[in-house]
Amino acid sequence: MLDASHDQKLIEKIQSGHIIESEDEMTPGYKKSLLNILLVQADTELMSAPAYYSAAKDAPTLASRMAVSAIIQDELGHANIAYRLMEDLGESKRKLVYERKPNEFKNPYGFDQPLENWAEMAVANGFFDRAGICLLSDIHQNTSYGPWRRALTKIDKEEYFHLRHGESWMRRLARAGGDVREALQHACDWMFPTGIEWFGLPDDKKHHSTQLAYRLKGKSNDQLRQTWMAAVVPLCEEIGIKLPAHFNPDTQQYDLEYELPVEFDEKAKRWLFDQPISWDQVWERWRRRGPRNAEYVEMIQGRSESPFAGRHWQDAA
Amino acid sequence: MRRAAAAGVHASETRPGAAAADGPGTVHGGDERRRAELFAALEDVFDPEMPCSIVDLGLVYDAFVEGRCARVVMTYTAIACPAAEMIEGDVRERLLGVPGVESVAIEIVWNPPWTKEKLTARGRELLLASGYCV
Repeated sequence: MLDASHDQKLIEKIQSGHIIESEDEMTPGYKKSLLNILLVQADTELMSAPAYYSAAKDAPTLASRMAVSAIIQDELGHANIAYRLMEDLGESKRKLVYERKPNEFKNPYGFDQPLENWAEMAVANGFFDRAGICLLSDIHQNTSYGPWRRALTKIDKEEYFHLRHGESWMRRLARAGGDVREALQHACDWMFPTGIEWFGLPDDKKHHSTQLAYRLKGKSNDQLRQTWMAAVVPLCEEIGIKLPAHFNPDTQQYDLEYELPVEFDEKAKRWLFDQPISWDQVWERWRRRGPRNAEYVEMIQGRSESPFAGRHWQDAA
Repeated sequence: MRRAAAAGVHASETRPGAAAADGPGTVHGGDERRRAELFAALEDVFDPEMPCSIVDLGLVYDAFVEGRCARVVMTYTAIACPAAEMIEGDVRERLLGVPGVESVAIEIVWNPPWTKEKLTARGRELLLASGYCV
């Protein structure tokens, strides 16, 4: 009971604009919720790196190769910042990065997928980094945890660079026509619904959000999904790429042209719009993890039997 | 020298034997005004990774109009600058919007190398506010 009343007091304080600066001010509930959301950010940044690395090998120009290498470096840096924030709260960065099993990483399902050509790399920057920007800029503006807010200032700027890289390549690929354009359409076909799922359960299926109560973030899943669609749908309309979504002038919202959620054929990387499933089944799929989860984690951690595996090493002091 | 002084950089350092200054018939009356116009336009071109224009970053060593061609002499903060292609595209697009400019020629130079001393006071302030050590 004491905990609950402390928690209620903290929530009231936060709702009136208070910013948390140190662990002393946190209740166990706040700290747990903060660590959860920080881990999602850290893991998402970290696991984007091996996914992008595989596609970077396909970079068609020297300039784009430099750009995508820099993007990978940025993502590792962002992950490092988020794990570092967790260290201030008593977690071990080394353990988090090197001693967890693949299925313990909290990155979205989209970063468990193979990125197999340059069109998929462009759309990953254009769609997934855009999703990252929607989530992180909301946190940057609204979060009650001061150290996180400050850390995100630089991260936000860099994410815009990734986004711009993705969008300018999407435009170039669309203009190129032929097989290239077809590859772009194909990439958007599976990566758009992946982005839609990225934002999680619809608000009416979520009974209680501690993240919103503690104002770790400001916007709900559905609001963030709308913000994302408001960016990616017009971009694709401009370049003539078809997406199963459109703007509804009556509601001033973007409407999906399929019933969320639906089944995903992992092998073919294809969404089966005529096979609706439940959110419980989506959770199950997420928990089962996507096809590249183990491989990507191994790319970060190294093979466990190797003397160079990360768990044997730590950053030089 | 005269041209460069207007933008607070030293042409003698940035463009040894600069083609435009040496070339015949390139420096006319009114060039200072044209130069200022180009620099003002380039203040709209931002580094995609930093909340700072390329002018405030001190990347633009020189800019002048030769006939109907806007010529820019500039550098990057790093040789493998991942944003180089984007920045050049933005410079081109912005300068083509300046009245009387029909083409844009960009020369990338590495001498003198960029250092943080080339930031303007505003550039330094903007970068500090974004968490850069400058």
